[in-house]
Amino acid sequence: MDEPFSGHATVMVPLLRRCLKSKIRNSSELEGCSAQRTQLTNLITRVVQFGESDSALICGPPGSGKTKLVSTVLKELQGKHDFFLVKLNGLIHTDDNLALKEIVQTLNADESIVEEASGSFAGNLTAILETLINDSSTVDRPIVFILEEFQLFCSHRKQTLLYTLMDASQSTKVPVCVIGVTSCFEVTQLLEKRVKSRFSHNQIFLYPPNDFNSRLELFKHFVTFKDEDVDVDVDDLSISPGVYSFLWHEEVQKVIDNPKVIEVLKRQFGVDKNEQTFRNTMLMVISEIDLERNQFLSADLIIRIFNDTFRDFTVFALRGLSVLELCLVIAMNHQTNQYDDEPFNFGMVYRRYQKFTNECSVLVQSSRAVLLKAFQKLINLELISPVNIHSKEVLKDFNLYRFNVTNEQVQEAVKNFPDLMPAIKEWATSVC
Amino acid sequence: MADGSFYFHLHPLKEKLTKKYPRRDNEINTLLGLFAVPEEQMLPSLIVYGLSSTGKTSILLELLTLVKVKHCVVNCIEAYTNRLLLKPIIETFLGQERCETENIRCDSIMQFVHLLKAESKSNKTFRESPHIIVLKNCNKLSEIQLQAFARISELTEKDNLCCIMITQIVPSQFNFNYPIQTIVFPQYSKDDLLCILWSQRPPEYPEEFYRDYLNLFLGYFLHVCRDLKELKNWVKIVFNKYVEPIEKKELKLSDSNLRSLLFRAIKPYLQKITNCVYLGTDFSIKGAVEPESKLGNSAIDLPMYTKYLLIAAYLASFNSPKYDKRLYLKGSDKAKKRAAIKHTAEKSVKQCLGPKAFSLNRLLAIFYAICDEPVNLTVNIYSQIASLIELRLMMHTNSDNLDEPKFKTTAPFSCVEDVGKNIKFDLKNYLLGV
Repeated sequence: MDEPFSGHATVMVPLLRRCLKSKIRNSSELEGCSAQRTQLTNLITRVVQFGESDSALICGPPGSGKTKLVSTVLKELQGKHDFFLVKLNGLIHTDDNLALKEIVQTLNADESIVEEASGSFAGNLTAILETLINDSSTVDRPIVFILEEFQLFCSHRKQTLLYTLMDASQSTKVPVCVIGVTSCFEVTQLLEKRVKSRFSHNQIFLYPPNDFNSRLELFKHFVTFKDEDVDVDVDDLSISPGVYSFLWHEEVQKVIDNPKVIEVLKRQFGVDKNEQTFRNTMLMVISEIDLERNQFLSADLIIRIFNDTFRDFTVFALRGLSVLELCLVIAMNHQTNQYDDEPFNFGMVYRRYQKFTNECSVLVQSSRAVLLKAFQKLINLELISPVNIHSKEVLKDFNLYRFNVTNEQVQEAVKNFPDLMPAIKEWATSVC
Repeated sequence: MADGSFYFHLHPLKEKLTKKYPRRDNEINTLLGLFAVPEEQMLPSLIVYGLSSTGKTSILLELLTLVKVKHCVVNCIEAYTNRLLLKPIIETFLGQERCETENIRCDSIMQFVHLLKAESKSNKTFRESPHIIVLKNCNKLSEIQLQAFARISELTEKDNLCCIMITQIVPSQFNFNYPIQTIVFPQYSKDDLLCILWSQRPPEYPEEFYRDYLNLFLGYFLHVCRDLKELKNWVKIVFNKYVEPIEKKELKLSDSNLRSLLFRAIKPYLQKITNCVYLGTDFSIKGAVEPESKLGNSAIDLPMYTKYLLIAAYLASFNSPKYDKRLYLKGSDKAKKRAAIKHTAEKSVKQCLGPKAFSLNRLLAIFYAICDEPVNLTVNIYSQIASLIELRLMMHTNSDNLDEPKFKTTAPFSCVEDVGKNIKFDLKNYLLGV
């Protein structure tokens, strides 16, 4: 590589990395799903404009843009109408009291209400809503509740929060809009009868984009840049960024034209439609761009990183075990295959191992204590899991375990295991 | 522009790490690419996965310290409550003094998220500098905690906050509904181990000599154990034994067939020692006894009738009551008995399922059947049962009926067999399906 060019790269690579990484991390605008968007906008507008309380559920698999849909719609409406917005998340507000605290905080209600109303939780919430009505400054100001990870609220005790909110959306004078966001499609099955009957059964479904071309566009968007995107302080340099940028885009074009790259992209799209997965992988790709090894994007790099995401970690774990531990895994595999996935205990596995080592002269039999340790290690790695965890009745040696690895994974691991004795390979593949 | 030169400060850093942690170049490169430049955006969360002692934690932490990113490490085994988990993180991020003077509490993820949100609103340097949370052994967290930490940057609305979870458990065991990138630390191969152990060779011996030793050592040990920490421990112990003849001046380094002589001397020791891997002690040293034989020894010191009681308990636990009549009744048909035994031979798997509970009456009945001398049923016999329970050779099982207590034996077969031999009682004659 000639000297002036490496000068370019030294300056450009860091800038480029930063630019592309922030491009990948910053989420794009909401695209498509216009029908769902109007539906949601209409629903919330009815509440905040005409005071018709309502409730709705937004369902869609992870990464289908549920949260984005809600926030886009709300941002739009917040400019036009005046309403309270209470955002709750099932991951953060893990019980009803925390959720209540959050509601009180966002509504600026007097915290003393909570302490005064020593009654039930439902009483507390109603009290808060009532004070809001009586408060002259907030007369009839509608409240929009957004419940993210809605399915987690269903496991709260007696579903009091959900009941109170749904009930409020039916009866209170204050217009209330309850919107649940979830990736769990059967969530209405989890609702109690009294909650279910108060829910409006408005459901908005979202689906991830099923169009590979848009994914390809996104890929192009992530790896290309305009000169003005990269904030080069041109005065600082004796050379313009144009040369490097030209070479970079030339390489990018080569990558995009490579059918193998398209193949791995398609494969990931087929396995996981979630855009976040793709973004994560792309971030890994850009992180590999550096001065020493990869000055430019290359097809090999992309194929390597994308292929890494398809790795089966269980096979990986098995290949990292010692031969002794692998022998135990093989014994367990035979045991589970023979007895149709029945659980097993250490004694049974030990018996099989003993039988094998007695027949096979090359292998030295290890002591029971060492094997027990190896068995324990497999438990710690959760390759096998105990059937009943908290049982004092059963002795350690006789506790039953289930095998979490499939036969295919064992065979795959045995095939690629470094320097494995042929006798063990034969044992693994044999049917008994 | 400072950015133009970041590779120049990155280079010595990389060299330092690769030198300290040999054979981990790929992983170090990946991590550096992700975290070395504070101005760049980070992944929202990351799993670092690898088996034990593959260098996950030490490399990651050293790297984060070297690139001077603000980070906080929590070992999730220690953090069994929300407060223990979240408080150290808040203290590192907001400053310990401030937390004490302002009396900041953090008992739930809600408070945690609020605190971080408020801080990034009010504090510009906090908002703009990257922060990393490192969770060791993240499999110990509850599912909700895991989910929350996986999307912590989304929840706190702080883009440059990253949560790195270190785990030995296969990541597919976790049930995330949020995609997380995984970095894998592969197990060291034989070559890698040779290289690492080689770098810690004792200086007083010639290189060729030590290389031979390492090859021999790994040839024996790799079969049982690939854990670097454990190997590092044993390589020293075995080497001391290996060079013993030289230290004692029996052999000289210049001897022509030194290798085979040393090998012949060490071979029996190596075979024995591979049975002590992971157990923490070298059982060839005087005074150290294997735990199981210890149990057998103490059982042999028991009084006569207690020995019979122990055997009776073992038989009661492992034989089905329906064969009791054939086994213990005097004058029963021998041929029939043998047939019964043959018939049940295939049921030997039963042995593996562990001891079954038995009643006191059955225990005493078998005891009288196998004990040749006539014994009076006195309080002494009962107290023997109590002492067996106290010695943990037998246990009381939970039974609802107070009048009919049930027991189980916990003694291993080898121990009971030893006891049987001691009083000339052949256990195998009475045990079905062995």
